[in-house]
Amino acid sequence: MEAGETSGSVAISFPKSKWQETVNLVGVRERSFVPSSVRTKERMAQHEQVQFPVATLREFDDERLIHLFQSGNQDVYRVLVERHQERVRNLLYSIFHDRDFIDDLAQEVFIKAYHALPNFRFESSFYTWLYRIAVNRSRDELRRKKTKKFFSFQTLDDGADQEIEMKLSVAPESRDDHELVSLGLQKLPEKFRTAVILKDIDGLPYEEIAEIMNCELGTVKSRISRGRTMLRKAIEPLLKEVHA
Amino acid sequence: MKKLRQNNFLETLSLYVDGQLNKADAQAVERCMHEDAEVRSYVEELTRMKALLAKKPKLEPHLGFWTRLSVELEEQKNLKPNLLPFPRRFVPMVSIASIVVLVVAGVFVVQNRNRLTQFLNEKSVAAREVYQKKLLQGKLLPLFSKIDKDHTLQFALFGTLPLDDKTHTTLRVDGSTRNGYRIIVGQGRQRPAMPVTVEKMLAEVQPNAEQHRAIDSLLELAGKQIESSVLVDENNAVAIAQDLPKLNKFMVTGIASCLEPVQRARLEKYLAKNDAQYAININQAPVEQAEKIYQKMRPHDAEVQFVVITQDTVASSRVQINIQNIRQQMEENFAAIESRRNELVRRMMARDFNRAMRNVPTPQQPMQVSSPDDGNILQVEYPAPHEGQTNSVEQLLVAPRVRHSMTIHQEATPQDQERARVNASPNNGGE
Repeated sequence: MEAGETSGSVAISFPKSKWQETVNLVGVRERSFVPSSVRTKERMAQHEQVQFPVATLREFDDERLIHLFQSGNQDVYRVLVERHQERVRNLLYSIFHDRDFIDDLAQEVFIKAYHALPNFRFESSFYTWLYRIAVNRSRDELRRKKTKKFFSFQTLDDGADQEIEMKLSVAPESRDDHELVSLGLQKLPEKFRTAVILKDIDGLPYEEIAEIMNCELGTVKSRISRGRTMLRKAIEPLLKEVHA
Repeated sequence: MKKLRQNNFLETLSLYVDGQLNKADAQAVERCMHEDAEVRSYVEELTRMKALLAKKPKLEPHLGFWTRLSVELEEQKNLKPNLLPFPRRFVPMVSIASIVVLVVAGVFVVQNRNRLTQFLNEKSVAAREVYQKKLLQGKLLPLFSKIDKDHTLQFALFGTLPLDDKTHTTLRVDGSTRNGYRIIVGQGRQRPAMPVTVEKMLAEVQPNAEQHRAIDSLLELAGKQIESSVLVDENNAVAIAQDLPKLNKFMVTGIASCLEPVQRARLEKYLAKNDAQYAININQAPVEQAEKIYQKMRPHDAEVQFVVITQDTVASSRVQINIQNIRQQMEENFAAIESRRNELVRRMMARDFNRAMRNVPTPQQPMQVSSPDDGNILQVEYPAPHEGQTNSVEQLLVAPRVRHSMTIHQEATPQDQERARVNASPNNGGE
């Protein structure tokens, strides 16, 4: 007998489905809505409190690990962190270009995710959700830095400009082109910078970027295009040299 | 070059670099690149830039990241929950803001301390005045001054005192209700005005000289008691002694008790003829000496419970009466008394009372205030005070009159109806 069987009808279970189909006594199929609270309980019942070795946990996909986390096995968070920490760190590094700072920020992102994970609703993939937290956190941080600079009477991209000029003046063989590109990225406003990083460094599709940045697909396309144009202008001499 | 200034075209080129265009659009871009060197250069630069970004070296893995994170998570688990209405990080900011507010408030208080002290004093004085405000203010003057014996007799018979003859505005008392006493002030329904005089009554009753003197004294004493029972203060609040409704019964009893049975029968005939409020049981009580009757009158300097009617309140208040003082004031302020009586009448005619009494607060004593008869009357009802020993003479001699035409009187008890039958029998009514 199936788990969803009730008296007078036989339930045909569809895992994670919002709809439950039943066959009543006269043989007619009926569909009924299963509330999310019931589905969550069912999911939690499916995942018993079994202690898996870390090696086994590493073989599980994100979704299964989150189910385990939500059913009380919080040790699985380690596997999730280890799986995604480098992506998050690199994303933050691309945005801020500051090695000393990104580990603290990445830690904050994972702490926030840890507290929010019990309410994760599987509407997007875990890393999209995690990226969204990281992008929001970096946006807050950039805003804070901007305010700080405003009160210290500095312009935001003065430092980047000078550094780019200085690095371009160095001989091509001893120059770090990637460093130059990273500095060029720092010149872009946050929303264009994040869009370009997510597309060109992380290689995410437009749809996922729209989800992470919480905006329309057309907006993402426009931001990427404008961001690239700005970046091209910032590092134009470098691009010309490479071409030559 | 012109095309490269158009955002839409740049976006198309960006999508081309990402391979997001359909075949037709991609071919159009390629044609454009073939025709325009700058477009071709732009696309090539974008492609190179994209490649540079894609090859951007990654950070070396942070091996101790989880260890560091797990320590932080463990610390957070042990943290006490934040009970503050704002995040902990705002604590220094909120503390500084609180100190600033306190300092500013302190400076304001110091700078304006005189005005603040004055303001607080005014408020406290106002509050004290409200708290200590007495219902009756200023000098109390009798509303019915120099009341003559005929009016006193009228009060004894009908329980009414005229406030204004032209408008038939009266003060009426009724001690014959089952629920207690009733005071009625106003125009409106009243018994037909029967011209009663002491002379006519004496002619009817035919008392001897001693009885005559006793009746005269009783009427005089009652007149003085009426004087001190209805007072008006400087704000035109009217105070009516709560024992006034039993004075007329006491007067009828007093007159009857100093008469012989035959004279009592004559008095009852006179009372019945005039449709008086009380009837006399002729054969029930012995003759009383006049002095004993006088002793039962209220002392002049007694503290009396008054029903106080102000513009917006009906309440009960105890007032110590100094009748000598009141008389003196009355002599000095006769014009003021007349003016206040006129003012009271004017208010009643303008129905000021009725409008005001809609907002009567809970009185200190259980009293019922109503405005029957289309608002022309203010009626105050309250229970009779507990009097300890009952007056046997009053009990035996006088009872509320039950009128023959009113077989079912709304206030007539079965005992009243029995008395009415006794009164109506031929043995009791005649001489």
